[in-house]
Amino acid sequence: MPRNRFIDPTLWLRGLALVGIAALGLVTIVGSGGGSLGLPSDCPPGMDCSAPPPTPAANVQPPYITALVGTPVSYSAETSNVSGAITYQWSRSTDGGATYADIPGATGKTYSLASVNLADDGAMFKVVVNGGLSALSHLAVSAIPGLVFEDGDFQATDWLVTPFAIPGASAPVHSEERVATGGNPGAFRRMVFEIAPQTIAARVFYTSLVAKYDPQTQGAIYVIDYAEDGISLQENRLTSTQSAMLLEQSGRRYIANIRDSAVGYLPTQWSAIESRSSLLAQDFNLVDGPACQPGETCPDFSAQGAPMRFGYWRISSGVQGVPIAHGIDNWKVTVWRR
Amino acid sequence: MDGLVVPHIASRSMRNAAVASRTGHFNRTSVIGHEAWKRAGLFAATGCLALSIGILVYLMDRDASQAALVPLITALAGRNAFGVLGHWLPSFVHPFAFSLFTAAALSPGAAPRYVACAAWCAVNVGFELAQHTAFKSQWVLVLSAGAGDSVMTRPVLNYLLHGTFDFGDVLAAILGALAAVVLMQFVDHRLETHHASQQVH
Repeated sequence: MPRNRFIDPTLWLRGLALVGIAALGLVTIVGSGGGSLGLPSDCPPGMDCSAPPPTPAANVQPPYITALVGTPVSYSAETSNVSGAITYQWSRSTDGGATYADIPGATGKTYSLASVNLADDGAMFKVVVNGGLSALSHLAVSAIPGLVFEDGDFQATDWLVTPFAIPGASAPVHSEERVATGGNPGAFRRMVFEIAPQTIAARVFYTSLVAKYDPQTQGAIYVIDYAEDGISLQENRLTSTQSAMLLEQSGRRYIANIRDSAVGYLPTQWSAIESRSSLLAQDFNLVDGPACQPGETCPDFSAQGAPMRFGYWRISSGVQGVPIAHGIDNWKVTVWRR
Repeated sequence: MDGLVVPHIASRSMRNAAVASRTGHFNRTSVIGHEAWKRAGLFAATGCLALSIGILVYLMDRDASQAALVPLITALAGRNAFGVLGHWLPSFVHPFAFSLFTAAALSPGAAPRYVACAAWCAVNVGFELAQHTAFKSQWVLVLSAGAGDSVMTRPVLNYLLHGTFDFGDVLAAILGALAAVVLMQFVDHRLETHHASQQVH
């Protein structure tokens, strides 16, 4: 009597084993490369999707404030993944964060100073949430109104555009145009990058030809506030763009450090995510130009510092051959002196 | 002729072996079935050994963050134990080991085993070529457009986006598959010689 091959369990076992081996083989190929970093992410901005379950967190908004003497400042404690009744206790440090003293009666979600003065300069404010979580904010105070450079119109003649090429690779292809509508509000600048061969990102410097500051004639800089509204015009999640303030001095280009804020990629709606306050000289990183020599201050915010120009830079990463579009509006640099 | 009997499926051999164990009598077919299991076991064990070496390369010589499946074991990391061989050893080991695993699971005929070697060689070379800058963008776009950015496709997108093409890996994959063929032929020859000598005695 002929055996029925279809009910032979050994054949089924062989088949299952072959399918399993094939699947395992493919998984090991994919799993052996590509890494676990730089994932194209569908995670909402600001949320850590890689850490289940979400951990409670607290922060103070804004984390840095620069204020003119006599003006009010206000802080707000923001929490995430904290359930139930929330308690707050604000405290203040005048020694750079070494010690904090509780502020009597400051137990609300917000804390305000009605009128700051020079004695408040350098103060740090800490909020402790539910007796455990804590977050900080820094206050810088100046007696001289900030000097403001801003552009929300983006005429091409006001800006110098310099693509950045890493040694041995060609510069990225880029284009810029002023778009009359669709900004935040009104006109904005639209930029499109294409990543050059042998590179993984496109970087372009944008220097304002109007925003110039000379510390020798206009005074030493205390801190700089930077603001911009940025947007990613790319629906493709495989690309991302970051922005930062650009500072040029003595043939060197610096970009503002991200500091202790989260890495911010431009979202697909207008956002001030790349804005930074109270930037000190040490918050700028040299990214182009000659290396800083021993004894040299880079950049030099002092009254002996060379003239400087301001702008912004954009870095986009993604896939070669795919144009990466993004926009900027309401670019603003405020120079604060003491 | 032994070769005519060898292709019989293992299940029959198992039953024969079971009968033989009850009766204390091993017939000719059960001996050959036993050899088929021995061959399969040998292939699987060699494949496991080779794969273990490949895993060791990742654990000892490579940055754990570069591979999604590889855990960081700090006691082993950063030893560079395999030196320059470590660059290509995993590419050699993968088609070698999986050709042997597949051969172990296949029925005892030789031809399907060699087809398996060719298939694993093609898969490895194909994946390596997909990382070439000339192709990766197209693959990423096709994959993301077709299947989207999901938990399932993300590792493949990462593999394509962050992996780098290396001709040495292509060569190693071909050599790995060839090494599996050579090993299979060697084992076949040894088992047949052994069986023939048993028949003579």
